[in-house]
Amino acid sequence: MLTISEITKQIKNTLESSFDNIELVGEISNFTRHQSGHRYFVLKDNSAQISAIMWQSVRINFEPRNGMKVVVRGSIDVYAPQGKYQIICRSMVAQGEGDLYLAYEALKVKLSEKGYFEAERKKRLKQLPLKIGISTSPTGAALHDMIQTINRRNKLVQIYFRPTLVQGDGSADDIVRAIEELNQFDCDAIIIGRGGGSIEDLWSYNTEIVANTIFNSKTIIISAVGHETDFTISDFVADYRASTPTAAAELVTSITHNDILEAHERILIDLKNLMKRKFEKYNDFLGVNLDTKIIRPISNLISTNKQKIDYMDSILKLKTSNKIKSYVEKLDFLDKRLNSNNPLLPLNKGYALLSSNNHYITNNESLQDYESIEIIRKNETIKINLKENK
Amino acid sequence: MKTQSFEEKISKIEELVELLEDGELSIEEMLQKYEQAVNLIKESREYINKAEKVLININDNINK
Repeated sequence: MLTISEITKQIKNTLESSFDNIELVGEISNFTRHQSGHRYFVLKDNSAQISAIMWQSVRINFEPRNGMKVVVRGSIDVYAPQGKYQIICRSMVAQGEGDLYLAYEALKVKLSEKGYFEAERKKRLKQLPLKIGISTSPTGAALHDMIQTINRRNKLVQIYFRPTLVQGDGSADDIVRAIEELNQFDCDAIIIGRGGGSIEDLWSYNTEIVANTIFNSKTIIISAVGHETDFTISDFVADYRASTPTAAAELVTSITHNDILEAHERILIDLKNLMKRKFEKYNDFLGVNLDTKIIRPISNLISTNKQKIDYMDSILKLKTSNKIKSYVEKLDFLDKRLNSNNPLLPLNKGYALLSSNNHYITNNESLQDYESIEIIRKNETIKINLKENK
Repeated sequence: MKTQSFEEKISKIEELVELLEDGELSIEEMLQKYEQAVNLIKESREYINKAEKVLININDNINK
């Protein structure tokens, strides 16, 4: 009986000695270049595949891509911890292109000739898109990444999600229907995306029906398929290409809600400053001009007129009272003159008047002519009968 | 009969006083003119006193 380690060791010895220096032809798939520079990929044909490694130290004069047909030289290696065999490539030569790659290139040329990739026909994303349609798998990390990125950067964005088959049978048709359905919601942009995968996994995004649907979409399409290094036909036809779903989410939130709040704040401050300057200007104007141009002239006018009125008042009083005074004086004077000519004044000195029947007897008349007379003194009047004395 | 104005009364008084001062009148005329003058002086004094009061009233009202 053998242990796992013992049998693995025997397999390793057998395989590694039997396939020490072999040449393989196959199509590259799942190509990744690790940070260290080592290259990990799969070589395949129609019915089988083998894992492959090409260390960073191996120099080749082209960039390997998924779908490429290559001839590699190397040794089979058994990796005991995973029970896995793989080929360590010491060299790689391009050997024409793979079938999928050829189909991809042919469609690319065809659509390019039809003008599908022209920059002039591509629609421009508005500065602040607020309604975003998303077509991707409901289970993949891409959906989570996009929703999280959009919500983190701009909470105001509304997301319309259409769960979509992104690989396998019927996926191209489903992507077409997703784009058509999302077009009915009047979104500012539709992101069609998925995470990375092999050229086969991404293939639906290289189909002509998807390309046509993107081309005919009224709504802006952002293609975000796979990783940075993966290019699909949808990337070329779409109005925008984002290297990853997260990058697409960042693209539609180039203005974040913080930007909006800051701009709002700035506008408020600008407005405040503007109003402040206006008020200061008017205050200066009022402070200086209200006094010199309005208040002073008015108060001058008032005081001038006040003086005039005071003057007129005093003149009026003076004139009126002077007139009255002069009449009073005149009356006093006339009164005095009249009194000194009072015809009865001599009676005070003891003189008397003679009268008869209410007629004062003058010096021209003779008392002989009267039968009776009255002697009028200051305090008494006596009647005398003259006939009886004759 | 037309009422005499204040000024006419003053002139009349002056005229009467002058006649009395001339001394050419009979005693009867003198007494009659004297009485007339005394009455006119009385009326005129009343008038001027009233005018003065009116003036004082007006000034008091304005200065209130």
